[in-house]
Amino acid sequence: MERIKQLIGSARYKLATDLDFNYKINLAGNLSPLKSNLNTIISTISQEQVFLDERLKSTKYRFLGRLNIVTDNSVIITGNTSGQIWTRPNNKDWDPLFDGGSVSNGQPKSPNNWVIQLLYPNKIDKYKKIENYSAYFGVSIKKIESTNISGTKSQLIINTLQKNGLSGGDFCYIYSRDQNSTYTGFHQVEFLGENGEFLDNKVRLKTKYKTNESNLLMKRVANVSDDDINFNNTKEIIKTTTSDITGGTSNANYLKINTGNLSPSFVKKTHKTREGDYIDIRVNDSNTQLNGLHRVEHIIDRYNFVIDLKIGIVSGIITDNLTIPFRIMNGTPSDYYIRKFKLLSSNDYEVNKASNFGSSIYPDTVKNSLGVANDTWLFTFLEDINIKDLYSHRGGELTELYIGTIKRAGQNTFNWSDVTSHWDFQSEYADISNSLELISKNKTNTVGSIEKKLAKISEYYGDFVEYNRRELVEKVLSKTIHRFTLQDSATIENGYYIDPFQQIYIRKFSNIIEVADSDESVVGIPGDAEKRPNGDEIWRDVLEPGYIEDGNNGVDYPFLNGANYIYTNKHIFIRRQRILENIILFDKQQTVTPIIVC
Amino acid sequence: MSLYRFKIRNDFRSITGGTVQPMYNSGTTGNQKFDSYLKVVYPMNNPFPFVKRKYTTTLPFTTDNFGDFQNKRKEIKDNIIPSFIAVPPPTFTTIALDDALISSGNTINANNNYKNITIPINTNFNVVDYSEDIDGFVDRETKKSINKIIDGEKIKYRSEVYPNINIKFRFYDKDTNTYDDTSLTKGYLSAGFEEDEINIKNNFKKSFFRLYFFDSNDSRRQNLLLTEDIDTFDSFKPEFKLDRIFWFKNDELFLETDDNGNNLLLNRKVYMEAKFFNAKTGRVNRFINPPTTVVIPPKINILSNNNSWRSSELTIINPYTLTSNGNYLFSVEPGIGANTINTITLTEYILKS
Repeated sequence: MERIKQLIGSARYKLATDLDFNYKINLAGNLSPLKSNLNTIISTISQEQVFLDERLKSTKYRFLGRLNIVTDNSVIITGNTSGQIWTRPNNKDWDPLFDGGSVSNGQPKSPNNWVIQLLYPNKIDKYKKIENYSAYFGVSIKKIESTNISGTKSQLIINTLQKNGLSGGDFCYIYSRDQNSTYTGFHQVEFLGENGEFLDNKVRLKTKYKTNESNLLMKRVANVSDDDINFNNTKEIIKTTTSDITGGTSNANYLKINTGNLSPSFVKKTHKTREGDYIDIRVNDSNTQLNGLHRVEHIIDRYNFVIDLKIGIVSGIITDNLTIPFRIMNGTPSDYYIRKFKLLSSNDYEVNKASNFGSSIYPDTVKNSLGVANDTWLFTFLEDINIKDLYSHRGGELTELYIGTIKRAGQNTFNWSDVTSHWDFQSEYADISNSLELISKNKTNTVGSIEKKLAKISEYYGDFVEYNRRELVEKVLSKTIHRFTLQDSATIENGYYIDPFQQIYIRKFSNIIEVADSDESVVGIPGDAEKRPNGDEIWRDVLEPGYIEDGNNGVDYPFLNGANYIYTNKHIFIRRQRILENIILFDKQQTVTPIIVC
Repeated sequence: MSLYRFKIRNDFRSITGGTVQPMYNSGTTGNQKFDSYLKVVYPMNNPFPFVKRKYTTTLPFTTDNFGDFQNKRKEIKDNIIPSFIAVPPPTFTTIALDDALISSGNTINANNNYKNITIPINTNFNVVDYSEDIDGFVDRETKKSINKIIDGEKIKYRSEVYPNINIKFRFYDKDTNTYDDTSLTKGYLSAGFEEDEINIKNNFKKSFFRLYFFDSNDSRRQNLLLTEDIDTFDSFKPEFKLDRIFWFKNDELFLETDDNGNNLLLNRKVYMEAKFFNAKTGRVNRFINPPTTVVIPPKINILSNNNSWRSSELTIINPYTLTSNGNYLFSVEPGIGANTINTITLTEYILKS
């Protein structure tokens, strides 16, 4: 309100009229650019919300934990001129502390015996062979058997090299790349394991046993239709040529399929496949290398498309003028591949001997002849692991990390041989001849090399997994092991192996599959989304930290100092490759006084 | 917001018809209402301290009662205003106004003395151009209210001299009026312990040294950063090994950069003092850091001239420097007081005038 005193004209000067011609026009605007944002400004900042926001944005992880080394020390080396010497490794031979430790050596720098590393899955290798077949051909069938349940009904049992990843009622597809198997086709799982015993590499199928065959492969298939099973509505392949993924000739990692021609002779047979479809090829001649379920990677035109099959011949015609039947599947077979783990950390961590109350209750090896070494150490990574800008092997958000405990070869004080990587099913016969890669090389009078030591460069073979593009679930079917033996007596009998990598979920995938229809524009589709043949994109959301879905799916690590703290209680079980003697934990002579209960 | 604008906004609610009218409208479509056409405002001195007031009234007048109006004015001028000052509030009566309505489209007649025409330009829109700025402003202001993350992670900094540095305590011997020598020949005996008490009696075993680490040597502004206790048990001389200090892993000083983003490689200085808690005598002895050449308690004027003797200076080395090469190390600043590269010798503080 304004302080204005207005006078009539005659009050101002005598001759003035009392008519006032002065009009005052107030122009008032109430334009307030902040008006619509007032609610944002005047808001209560919730402490919990700030915490959740900070945690969600944080990509920093700090690792610490306990390292428990448990082993059988009963390995023996035979001696010199004085005859047999019974020497066993003692606890110190497994000690993960850093070397140095004397004034001349200066600060402890290099980890002894063991290296603790942090890794993440970053790459897929599908062509690497697992025993006889490339990883992407599926699970190898070691042998088939028949079983007579309820009388004379002889049924098919398959023993697989790796874990099979099957559940009761699942369908699997059996085929061979070496012959036209009588078992080629879909089979339903009736029972896991045998005789009531659950085994993850043995299943009984509903199929009748026919004849013994070898060189068989198996893939799990989701959503199998009757037409799939009966191999109905087949089409025909006229010609196959090695090609790159677009049908070109820059490499020969894929196979171009031709089903029709415009010239020289008009064959009006379009293939009608879509990108992302799977086709089932069952050859009727000797081209058995085409057998199997293959993914359509690229459509060139209505007569030509490219499938994910590497024949191994550089740029050439594989088959021509044949009529090989194939069928576009309704079901979705799983993909199989090897994951490679990339090193994230340098050796920037500390290890301390745990105090007595943190140690194992088992006795010290030095003090008894039973050969059981046990001890506990505490480790703390000084290095923060930042997963910013890191993507998973599938191109999506990183959801898991691995703690690796890598054994070093060499003389400290025990003379261990080279450490090599193998598959877990090879544990009983793993030796230098069937190794995947070298982990640590033996050196005389010192600890062995660390072959994988360059952070963000070095890679390990991690595991063999199955991934289904419809279910969007990855299952580990086989893990790698690291194996070593005595340098002076490098037999399998003296060999040890460990499971080097321990998985740590830093985030979890949701149980719910999200779908973006092909005709809608959706923002924020993650990099690991799958494109279905109909154009839909499907993916699983990564759950926010602290959010637990369905009561058990999620992670909730302590969040402090802007970092997620992950504590692990890691056991390293150092197993003998072959058990030559019964493991005796207590001396038979030892008498135990019974506890008398009144 | 001014009171005036506030009023406009409040009145705005009463506008009906769904469209914003250019003038104040009581709801009679097509007419503009003038609820007051001559306001006479009498500013008054505030009769009450701390409360600002002004009284407003509106006097009606027409050509018929103009004479009355003049009288009224005179009356107010002569009597009422002074009396208001003494006896608020005003006691004269006012006559209620009739609303004056003018149909829209009519010319405003000056004869009617419509004095105030308020045309509120009431534009209500979202400023798209600035909305992002405003959101950014909101974010920035919100963040100001939230403490930033401070990394309190502490880790072990080892002594640069491997495997450790020695820390010695020289006690004052009352009998000889001197300090112990650097070999600590008398050791705990100077502190009042007997030979047969050392490592046997509880009064020895429960005694301990405590190291105090400060961020400055200036006692007026220093802050205590951390303390470390050293147990006397199992020691025959007051000499110990110091091989680690727990300090912030991501001390912000270590990350400071110049304008070009290069790390300035600054080291953290900490200043250490010590106290001995004697369980036998119940006394607490303070230790400072004069040179080992000081064998008798120095006079107070010498102490005041040697401020650096107050504490032992240590350097927590920036792990990003070339010499530390990513290792977490600390070192003793040699030459300050009794400090050498691998030894700290602290001496009991005795005040001598």
